[in-house]
Amino acid sequence: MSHALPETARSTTDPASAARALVEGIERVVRGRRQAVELLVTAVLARGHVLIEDVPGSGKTTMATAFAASLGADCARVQATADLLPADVTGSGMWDPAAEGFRFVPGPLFAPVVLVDELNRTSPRTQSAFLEAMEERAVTVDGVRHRLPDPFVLVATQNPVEQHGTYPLPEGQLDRFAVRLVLGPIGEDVERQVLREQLAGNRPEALSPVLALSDLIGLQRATTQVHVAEATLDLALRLTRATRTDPRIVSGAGTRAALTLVRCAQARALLGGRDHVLPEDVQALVVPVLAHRLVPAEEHRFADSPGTASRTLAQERLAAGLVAGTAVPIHR
Amino acid sequence: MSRRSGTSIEAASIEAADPYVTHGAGRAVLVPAALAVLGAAWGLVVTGGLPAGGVATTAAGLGLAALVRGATSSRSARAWTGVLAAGAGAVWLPGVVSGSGVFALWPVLALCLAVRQFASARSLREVRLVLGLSVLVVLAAAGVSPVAALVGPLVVVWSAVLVGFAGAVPHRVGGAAQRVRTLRAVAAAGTAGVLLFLLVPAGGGASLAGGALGRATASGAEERASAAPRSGAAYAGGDLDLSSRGELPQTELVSVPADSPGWWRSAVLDTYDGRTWTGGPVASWSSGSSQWSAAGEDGATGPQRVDVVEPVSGDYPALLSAGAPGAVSSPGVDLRVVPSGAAAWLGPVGVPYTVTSSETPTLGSSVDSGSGAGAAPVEEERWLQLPSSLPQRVRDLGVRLAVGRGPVATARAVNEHLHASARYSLDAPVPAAGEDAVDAFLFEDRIGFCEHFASAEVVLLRSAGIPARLVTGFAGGTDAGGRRVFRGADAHAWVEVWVPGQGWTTSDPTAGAQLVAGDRPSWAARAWSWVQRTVTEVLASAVARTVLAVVLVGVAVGAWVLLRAGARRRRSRTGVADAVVVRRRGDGVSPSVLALLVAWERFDAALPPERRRGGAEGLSAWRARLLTPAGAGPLAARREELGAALAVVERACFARRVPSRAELEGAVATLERASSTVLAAARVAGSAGARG
Repeated sequence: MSHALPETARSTTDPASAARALVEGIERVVRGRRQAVELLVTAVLARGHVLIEDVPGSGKTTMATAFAASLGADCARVQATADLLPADVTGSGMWDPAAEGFRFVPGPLFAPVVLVDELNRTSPRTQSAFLEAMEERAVTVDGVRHRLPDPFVLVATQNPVEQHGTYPLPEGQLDRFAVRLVLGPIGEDVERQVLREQLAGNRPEALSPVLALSDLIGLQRATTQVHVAEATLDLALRLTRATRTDPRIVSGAGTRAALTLVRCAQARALLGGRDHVLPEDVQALVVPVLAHRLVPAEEHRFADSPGTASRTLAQERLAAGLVAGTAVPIHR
Repeated sequence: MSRRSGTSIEAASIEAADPYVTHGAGRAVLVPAALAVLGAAWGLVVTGGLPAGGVATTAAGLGLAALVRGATSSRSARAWTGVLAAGAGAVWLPGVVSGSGVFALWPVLALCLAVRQFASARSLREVRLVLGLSVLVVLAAAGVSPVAALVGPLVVVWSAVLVGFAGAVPHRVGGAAQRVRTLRAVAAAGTAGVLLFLLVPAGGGASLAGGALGRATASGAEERASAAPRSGAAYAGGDLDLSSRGELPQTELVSVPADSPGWWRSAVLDTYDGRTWTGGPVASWSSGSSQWSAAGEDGATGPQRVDVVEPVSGDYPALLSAGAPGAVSSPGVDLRVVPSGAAAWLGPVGVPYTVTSSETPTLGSSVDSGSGAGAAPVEEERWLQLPSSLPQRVRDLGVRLAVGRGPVATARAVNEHLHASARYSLDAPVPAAGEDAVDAFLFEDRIGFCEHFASAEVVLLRSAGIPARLVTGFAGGTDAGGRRVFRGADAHAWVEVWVPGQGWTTSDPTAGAQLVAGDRPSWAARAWSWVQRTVTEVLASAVARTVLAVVLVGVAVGAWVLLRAGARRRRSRTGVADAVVVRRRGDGVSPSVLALLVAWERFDAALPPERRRGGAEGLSAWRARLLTPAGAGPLAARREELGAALAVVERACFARRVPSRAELEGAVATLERASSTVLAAARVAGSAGARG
């Protein structure tokens, strides 16, 4: 499991251009989803995890794989099913006859990029194993705590349409995801291009890396250095608090959400080549960062669309409404 | 603060969190305001619009107001204090009305109002009203009587008002851009004022102002236009106007024996009215067989002497005598003596004559008590006359100099005082109309020539109750071949003081007076005088005034263009200036940033509503919306500049480092220009709409 940077990868000192290179690297395969790709990179730079919600076959896995390949990192893929157990994910102790003891064999979680397909299909018990790993960046097996590699990015997907045989993630667990991406349909021309490229054998696994994992750590560190002005913090705070006072929302976003919002805004500023966050950064991230944490009141859900799609739509509308209804403070 | 936002709760919290509400009046504004009011009161006192106690009551009122301001913030307490303080000033009103009429009331009322306003002023706007009132009062004072003494009050009031106004504008922060703007405004206003002055024909005001300003300088070139020229006739028995100025001719008039006394008298003047000396005859002339003889001159008891006076040119009409004249004759000529004012004129003019005089003793000579003169002159009242308008300080000075001294010692003391306090110059300032010439000479200008020295001595001695009189004639002269020749310029005025037991005694205070600056005026004085003459000549011709106005406009436009180019170069140079690290002190924000935010707020407010920043709109988004090439409207010409300025605003709010001061100030200037552009366009559109 070598994460050494191949010679083809370029090493750059400027964090903004490195981050943009990562975005372009993913875009070599994932077409017509610039915004989604940027959000993915933003979340990764902010040391967050990503939940991609869309119908099957819309390129969720392609995006995650392309991301891993652009980093030259191993991408462990877990297909979440109802009978998946926590140990299958975290790894477990195996009897080693030579050492006459149990030896810990790491599970798929011990890869820098983990892709969990259809997270909502697995049992709550396994889900919580994932979520612990996401938050703690460590797993505990047989009383021994094992640190996960750094960087560690978990990309989970879920299908919003099928409700049959799923365990919907509770809000408290959704809260662990920094960003939820709703990909949505792509245009006809873009779809034709994707078909051509895929037929020509342009596989995401075959992508050459554009960034080493160590560079990604550097980028994450640079992201934390992006300046957050008082006014920017005010705006993030107001937006988050507005979710708790809005009468159309049963339960709003917590302090973790506010923190994530600011961190993602820092990442977005870095991606934009700035050393400071602007209110626009915060506003642009309200829907992807806050929407999936909101519980809309019953009468504001769209009962006519099936599954969680209606809920998602309601959440995104509410979050978008918050942006328009919250004043941007302009002061030093 | 007009910010639209999603909810009223938001708006309220924005209002509450607004860090720059700075309309309160602070010490930086109140101190200049108090000074301005005090200066205005002083100006009123100086011009006689208010008794001297007015300054004291004003100061007391201001002090009381300041105390109450410091002690309480209760509005009613301050208001009542203001009424009280203004009432203290109002005690002078009846006196003012009885002294100078009802119209003299309003400057005093304005002053009282200013004091009252000062006590209750809470906002900068109210302080600005105080400053404005002070200016009005001092202007009224200048309009009433532009005297030289107004210079002090004017300087105090104007500087205080400038400082006060500079500090009394909310959100205004010092800085290079601010200073440049102020300078620009002052320069523009000054240019406009001079242009108006040049292009509008002057009424009487110009000469008044010229008089007031010119009197501040120790040079009289300009007001000599308004002062009567000096004439030799004044020293030959005519009225002596202390306001006349100018050189007397160097024409040789008469010659007298070289061994005769130094002072040759032509007339004695007795009555002073604050500006002019007049006189009547002191002796009665009667025609005898071969000569005319004088009788009745009082105290003429000195030894007799006979001198021959030869006219050099034929235009000096008055009889000259080396003391009190006793008789005059001219052999072979039918000579007539005609009393003329204070002198005796001879007819025909231009013939040599022999005059018999009794010598007048001088202060230096020992008192000859055996001469038979009484303790007082016969017409004592005549020689003690003083105008009722004579300021009290002159009288007080005379009394003070005479305390414990006899007439001779007093005269000496007066001479010493004059030598110590005044200097000699023919170019003395002219007293303003209505001003007492002696008072001005003694206490304000302290520059004069023989007339003033002598007048001052007479007035001071008379104030002390010592009879004295002004004598005109000749002194000095040029010796030539056993004769002494008097020229027109040798005309002189001196004093005769009554010494009991000796009679009239000559005292010449001019002798030994310090010259202003040597014989010749200094080069600076000459240059100043040349400037004044040139200005007067230019102002006298309409063509020259117009040409000057055109030149001035050209210079102003040229300077403006140059400055703009320089500023643009500087801006392009300082685009990469070092940023200033802000040290956050609590919630302290650097003033330059505040100024920028205010300029931005104003610009936002100047825009039409649909183009203002939405409450939930970030600056970048707003900038993009505002400055689209199609939709920039009147700002199209400034798009790039304005975009850069808004970027500076954004960085000032959100970046780690505050932009450099130069950038901040440049952005402030840009935003203010953009506001003006928008407002002007709106006005044009509005008026067009009104027409349509």
